[in-house]
Amino acid sequence: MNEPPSSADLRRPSELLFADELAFLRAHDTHRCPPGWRLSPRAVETFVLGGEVQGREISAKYIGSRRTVQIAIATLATDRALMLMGEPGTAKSWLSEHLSAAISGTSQLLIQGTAGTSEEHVRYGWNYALLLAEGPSERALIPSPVMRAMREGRVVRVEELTRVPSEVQDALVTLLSEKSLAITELDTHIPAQRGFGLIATANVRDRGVNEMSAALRRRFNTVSLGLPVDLETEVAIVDKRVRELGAQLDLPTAPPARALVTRVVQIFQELRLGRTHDGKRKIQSPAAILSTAEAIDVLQSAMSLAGHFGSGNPGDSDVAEAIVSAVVRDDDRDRHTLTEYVDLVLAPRGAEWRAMTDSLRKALQ
Amino acid sequence: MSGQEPTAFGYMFGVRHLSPMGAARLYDAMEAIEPTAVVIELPADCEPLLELLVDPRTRPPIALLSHSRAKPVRSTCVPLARYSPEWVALREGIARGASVRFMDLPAAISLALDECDDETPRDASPRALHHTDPLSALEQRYGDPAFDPFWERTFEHALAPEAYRESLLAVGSSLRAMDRGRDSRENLLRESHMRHVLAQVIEEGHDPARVLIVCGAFHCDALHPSLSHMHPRELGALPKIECAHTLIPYSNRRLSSWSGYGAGNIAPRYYESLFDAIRSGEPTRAAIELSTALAQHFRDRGQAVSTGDAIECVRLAQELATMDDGVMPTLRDIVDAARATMLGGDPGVTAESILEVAIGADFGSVSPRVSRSSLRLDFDQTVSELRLTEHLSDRKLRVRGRARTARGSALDLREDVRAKRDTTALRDRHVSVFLHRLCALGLSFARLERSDSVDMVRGSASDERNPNTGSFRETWSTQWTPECELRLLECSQFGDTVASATSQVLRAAISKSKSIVDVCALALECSLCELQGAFDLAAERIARFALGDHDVVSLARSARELATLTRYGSVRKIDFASLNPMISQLVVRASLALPSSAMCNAARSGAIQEAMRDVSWVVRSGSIVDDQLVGRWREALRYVSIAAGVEPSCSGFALALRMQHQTFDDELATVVATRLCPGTSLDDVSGFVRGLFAIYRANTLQHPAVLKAMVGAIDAMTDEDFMATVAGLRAGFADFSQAELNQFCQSLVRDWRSDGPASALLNRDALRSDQAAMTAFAAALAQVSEIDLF
Repeated sequence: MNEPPSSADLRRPSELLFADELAFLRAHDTHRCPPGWRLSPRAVETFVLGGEVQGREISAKYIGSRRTVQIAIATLATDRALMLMGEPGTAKSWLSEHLSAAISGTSQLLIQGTAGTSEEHVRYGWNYALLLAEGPSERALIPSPVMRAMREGRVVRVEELTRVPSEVQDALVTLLSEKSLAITELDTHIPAQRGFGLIATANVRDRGVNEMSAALRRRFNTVSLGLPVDLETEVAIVDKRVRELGAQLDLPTAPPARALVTRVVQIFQELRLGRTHDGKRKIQSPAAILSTAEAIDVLQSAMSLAGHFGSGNPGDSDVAEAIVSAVVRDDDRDRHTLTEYVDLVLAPRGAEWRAMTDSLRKALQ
Repeated sequence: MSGQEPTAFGYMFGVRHLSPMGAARLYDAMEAIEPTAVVIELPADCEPLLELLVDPRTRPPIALLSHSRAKPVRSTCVPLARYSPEWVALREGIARGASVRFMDLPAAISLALDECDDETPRDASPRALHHTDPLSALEQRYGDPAFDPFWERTFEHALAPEAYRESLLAVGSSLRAMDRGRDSRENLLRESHMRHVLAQVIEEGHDPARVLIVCGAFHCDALHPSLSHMHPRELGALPKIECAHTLIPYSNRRLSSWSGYGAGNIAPRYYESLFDAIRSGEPTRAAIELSTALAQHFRDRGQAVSTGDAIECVRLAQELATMDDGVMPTLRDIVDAARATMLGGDPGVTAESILEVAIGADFGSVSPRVSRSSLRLDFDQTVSELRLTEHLSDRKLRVRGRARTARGSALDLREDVRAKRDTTALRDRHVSVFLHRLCALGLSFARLERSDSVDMVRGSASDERNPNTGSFRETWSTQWTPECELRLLECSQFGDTVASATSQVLRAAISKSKSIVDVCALALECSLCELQGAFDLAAERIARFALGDHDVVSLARSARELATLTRYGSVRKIDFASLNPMISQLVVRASLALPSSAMCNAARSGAIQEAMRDVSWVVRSGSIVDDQLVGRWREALRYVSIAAGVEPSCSGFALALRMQHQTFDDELATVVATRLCPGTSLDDVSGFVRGLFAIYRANTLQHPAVLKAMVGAIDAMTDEDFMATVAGLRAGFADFSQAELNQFCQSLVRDWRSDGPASALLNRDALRSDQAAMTAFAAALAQVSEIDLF
């Protein structure tokens, strides 16, 4: 069913990329393993958040709150399904991929939720040629990822559940409470094997698109993922990612200096959190989404700009325009918010911020 | 002391002061050793309260309160919950007929030793007795958020029979080894005193094997007979203050925010149910009870939370506990699980609102035999100190002070530099603060008849006086009624002193306030009451409101209210520094919002002018120190004064404001010419003129540049144009007095160009002399219906 992975693949799934880490954790797992799980909850936690096991360094896949990850893992060990909720750019899918890879050894049982997702994607479909030729049979049945996960006792992922039409979402209700899938045409049902779990992700900005029914909602435990709140973590994430992307896109430029990354991330954090880094001043937050991903975009476009048209060394003036366009989306209010921020917060910060202040002022004119 | 040295004073039971497991295990200890004496780490001089403590009508949460009789009132309190080991020890001890003794250093001495000086904010709550809680060392080590769960899992869930006592003794020893506060003077004295009481108990003939010692785990190692104890003579030599002791009802809420002992009290209701669960032999019931209570709580608030959710909550909490190697869920596990299972991970629901359920709204009660409230004592004392005793009568009296006014005596809030003693020098201000506090408490005792200062703030919008003048005089009258007695009694629930109760009341009002104007009024009240803590809260609230505000009019008003407040800094003690950044923020935002807001219709122009006036006042008052921000405001004014789309009266108004700090003759001439140019509607002409003279009229009337610009504009008109415009001008000058009109015309005519069209008009009527020209022009302006006369 699966093509063997090749090295030309743009991206390899977590369970292959980190196969040796998973094997190692499994070999050295000392805690109780829930039935059907490949690893104990503790080991899953270590796999996701990184750490040291028996002298071997396990890389961190997700940088964020340990407690959040613990709640997510503990949920999968209970009866309920897991809902990861968050702003765009909070690594929901990323986390769900690594969780399912660690728990059931595969992250490939995946449904991408869209307006076009139909019940066949959730339950099962038919090979119509066979169906017409032979009538309903096991052979003519095309199992959905959910059905396969139930049969094999694995974790299935549903991306962007709230984009799926409500009536299709509701197909999950019975599945999740009965833990079995009825195939009326064959007068049979598929009981879920131990280890079956479901991780759904939803974007808070999609709230109201296809509201989940109360019945479905209460089959989920919900965990909210946030953006990093401390500067160092976010700078580390952005810096790492910008370097990676720069190399990947072959940009003719040096990666931005750490100080510049710090400035950009600090501006994003302060505007997002509505207060200055030292906590002394509250400021207005703009309406635009200012996630870590946006900060990465800003720096990336600055690199491209500096590389192709500038000095080759991205500086404050290269990012200023990008920051303004990230913050000021449509109305004057965002412009005022940013101007106020530059005047009251950045301008008094002195020499280190002078170039940034001036560039932003120029870009705001 | 007896001849042979005993090897121990008794059976040591180390505890943490609010600890369900400790309290529950104490029953077993009682059962095991059947004590004849129970010695507890509570202030020794509170022993007389025992009788009230065991009164069945006394129900925790309560607190032992000791306070000095002399000013400044210093107080210290020890709260007791149902799950306090001390509470269990004293109630059980008495019930078993044991002799119950308190062994800690008397509060009278620790208060005297307390170096707390008068600089400490007066609205601070009573100090926690031994504020150097050694266990905070552990807390710091584990980091705040992780400490409580760690403590609960390790100690409160220590289910094996002796596990709690043994592990706490070990913790106590290792903390001593870490040398945290062990050798502080206070601690040495306390432990020495505890040994002194214990030695006494042994001397009285109690068998050490049947003496139960209940004290903080930290002190256990020090309570050994081999160490020297305090001699009665040494005890007598220690400083002491005269002290009153009483019991006060306490609430779970205060218990949960009470600092000094750390864990065990963030969620009193939960810990109480944990205590009961342990006692009943089913410790896991606490998690079930809390989960159910949470489900109930959210259901009551209209959320669909089912029993199934509560079950899932318990299961998830259990799962989380297992991940941390715990035997049962901690409070944090339950709270986290509840958020995931019941609330859809809603980030809007904070841990705080979940904790509300775990805290509980319980209020303790004390035996009716407990004497007067400490609030009343504080009140009486302050009254006598400020020489207000005669005012406690049911007739209206004027409060006498240093200031002499036309209407009699008044308070002078400034320091009397001639006074010999501090109390006299600031007596008037202290009276003012005290009376303001009583007003804030809702006591209908004192009435502020007249205040230079408060009037100025409240009537600020129309006040154009120099913003830098100080104000310091207040006139008060008083009348004491039975209602006041009642209210004072009611208020004792808010605090133990007038200061702390007022602070509490104001804080509650601030948290409920709905608009920035309300909070500013409250902030003013806080400053009048000299309550820094409450003031800071108000400032924070103001910041919150200001953040969401984008309307230039209310922004300007807020800035002005705040800037007005800051003027109290010189007389009052409140630190206004925290307001200054906020004022700058409001001014910047107003500057940004002004240009687009000024493109309004005539109906709104009044409000916009008000806003411009307010912000200019703020800028002039010196609240903004950053030149760049001042520059931004002036830039906004400039834009409003010259931009074409701006409402005419706003444009005129902005010009008048700009003339106060700037010379811009050419620009002024252009604007005036544009605004008066032929073809402009009469309404717009009159609006512009009205705006131009709406503020600083006297200055503007004589301003050479204005005159020149007016003359220039009129000179450039043809006769017909002038005739068409003059009606608008006339309407613009409608509210001028005749004297003002005369003056203006006189100045105008002085600059008249001899061959201009308007002068030609005047000439036509053969009015050659300046005087005659002035009269004619004034007549023309004053009587629009007679324009035809020209």
